[in-house]
Amino acid sequence: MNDVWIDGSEQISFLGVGASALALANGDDAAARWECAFPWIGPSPEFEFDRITGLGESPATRQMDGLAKYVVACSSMLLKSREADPGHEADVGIVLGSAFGCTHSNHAFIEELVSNGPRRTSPTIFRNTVSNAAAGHMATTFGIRGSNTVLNSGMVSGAQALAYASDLIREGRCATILAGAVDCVSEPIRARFLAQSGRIRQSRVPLIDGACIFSLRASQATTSSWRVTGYSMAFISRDDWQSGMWRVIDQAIRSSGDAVEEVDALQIHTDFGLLWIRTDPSERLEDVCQDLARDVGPGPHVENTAVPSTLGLADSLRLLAGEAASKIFLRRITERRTDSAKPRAFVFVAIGADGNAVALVFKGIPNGRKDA
Amino acid sequence: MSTDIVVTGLGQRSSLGQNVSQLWESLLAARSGFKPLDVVGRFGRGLGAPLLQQASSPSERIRCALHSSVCEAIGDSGLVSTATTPALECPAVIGTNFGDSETYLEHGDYLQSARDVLAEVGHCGELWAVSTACASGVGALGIAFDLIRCDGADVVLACAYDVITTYNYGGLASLKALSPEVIRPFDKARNGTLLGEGAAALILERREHAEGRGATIYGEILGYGIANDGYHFTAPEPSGLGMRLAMTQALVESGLSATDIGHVNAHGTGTPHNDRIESSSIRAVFGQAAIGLAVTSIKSAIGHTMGAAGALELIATILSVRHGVVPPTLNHEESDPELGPGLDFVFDSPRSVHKSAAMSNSYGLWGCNSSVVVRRGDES
Repeated sequence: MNDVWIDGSEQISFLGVGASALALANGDDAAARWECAFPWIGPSPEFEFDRITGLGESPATRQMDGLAKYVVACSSMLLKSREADPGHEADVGIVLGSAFGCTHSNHAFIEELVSNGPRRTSPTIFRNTVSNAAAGHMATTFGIRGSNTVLNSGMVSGAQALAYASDLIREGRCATILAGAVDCVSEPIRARFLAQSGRIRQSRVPLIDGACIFSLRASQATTSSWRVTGYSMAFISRDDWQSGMWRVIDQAIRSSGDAVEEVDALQIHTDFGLLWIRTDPSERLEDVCQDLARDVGPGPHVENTAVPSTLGLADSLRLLAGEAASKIFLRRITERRTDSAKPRAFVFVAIGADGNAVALVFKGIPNGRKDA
Repeated sequence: MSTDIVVTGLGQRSSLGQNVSQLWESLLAARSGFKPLDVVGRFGRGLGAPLLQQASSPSERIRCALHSSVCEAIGDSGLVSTATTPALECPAVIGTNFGDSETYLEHGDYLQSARDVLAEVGHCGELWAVSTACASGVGALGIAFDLIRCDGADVVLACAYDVITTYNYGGLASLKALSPEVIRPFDKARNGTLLGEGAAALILERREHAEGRGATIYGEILGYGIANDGYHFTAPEPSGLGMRLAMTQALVESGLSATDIGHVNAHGTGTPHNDRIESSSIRAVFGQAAIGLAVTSIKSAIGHTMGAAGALELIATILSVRHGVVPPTLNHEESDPELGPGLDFVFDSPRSVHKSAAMSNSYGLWGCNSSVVVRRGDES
């Protein structure tokens, strides 16, 4: 069994372009922007596909829809920043999670099909309606020949993609995987979301377009200081919210082989996140979990895209590593430890409106040791 | 080498029957499920292999096919006493290419019909929804396999489905991938595929768990491989690199040698490119063992069932190794010398096989290639 290391992440969203944008983003400004933009917010004006990717105008890029462009641009940054050329390696894989998939292209295709009939409908649009199209564009653009999978399990799809990618690396099926979330919602989905806004007024998190992609590797030759050590998934009923939450967390910790006492940070992400960081060595994780679960409340009630929870995870990994972070998805953070040491283990839980929950366990390597 | 991950329940619904027995009997009898499609009437004549409930809406057909398959698999596995009210806490992995693509802009959930079915059968475990295009059935199987192997699950429900709609029929027609007449995999006159629809469900289980409760073991999943061409939306990579990678990965993981494989249930779409490149890839991977290797494609009988294809064909592969017989590839007229020598295409009538292991190939748009190796359940 291989270890699974996080080798980096990049993002495209309203917060800006690149992981560094998370550091530069002012959470208050960003929150004000999404309040104005409700019910949907797209990527910042800094997102210029040609400039980021250097791919220029070509038949291949002209055939990409918005979903593909987000993820190809994000992957391009990730591959450049890691100085990694996937080449034509079969041990590089892709696992993408998307809550709404290719809704833009679906809508366009249906309209054209109804208007023109199949004989006069462009196959260019159809290619983007296949639910693995974005991953397909990534594979063809970068010559990635390993496992290529898309998960459409709602707003936890990004976390689920990281979980499945960690299995693929652990099993030796791939040495490197680009995994994460991407969404690009269409107007009908936005309208539907807005119509349900009465039920989501409390959270006011809009539908968020963009991509957040992690590079996971089996190799220890990485500058990262986080490993993915385990995960668990479960359905959590609203009637059994707090104990269900603890069960999925406990199971994830068991799968990681870590001790419950080693967990120094816990984040529960529904529409938004609550992050606890250990300040008192005697605090019991189960009690903390009950408190967070109670405070975050059963939810979310309406599916968002897969992007917010994945962005929230990327942001918190920065925060916990002592790097600058936007904290935009965090409604509450407990006081930081005075010694600012990195947590020994961090558990992140994402929950969807359908009750699907994914708990991921990350092992922190002590500060100053990048290759432990 | 044994993975000790076994299949203890099977369920299906397709143009050739409302359960696994009917499908198997029809395949061996060389029956075909094709007929004119009402669903594409507005676009002219079209053939396909629909469910009996062709006239109902796509969502209703998804619900019908998936509910029937899942209930059959659960009942068959003996995990619960009745298939109508079980509390299924095991993980469920759903594979689909198109899901509710024709209607989901209205209700915003690509998986609405599948979610409803799982709720109806009492599923209350984690849910994975996977798409690897028309290889989604094997994509679901792969995740289910890894959930048992890596993550300690004892039982996983893997299912896959897709139905014919104006949407996907129109899309494939726009690609000019559909045959105007019949589907003739591996035939010299092959000129395209035809769509089918349906659903399939398999219960994967840790062998110890299955034996502990005295379950029937249909077969053992020995390994799978998934690779991408990284080449083109529709056209397979000309050298078959992705196909070869997937087959090789599955074979290596199985711990078997090429000579242990008795037959290949091929992707075999009946398109000129796929069948030629798949044939050459099988020959490349199997080497000398390809000489006389039985190869069949049940798409000639049930059509290309898109996201369900990999799971339906895996069921046929498991039944083949269990019963020692390979169902035929229909509509053969003339052998194609371009497919090269060596492979023993099973045309027209069933063929007995005596080896206990087999491979099933499943490929999809955007260069998705996947292969699974299975073995008879009593061979570990």
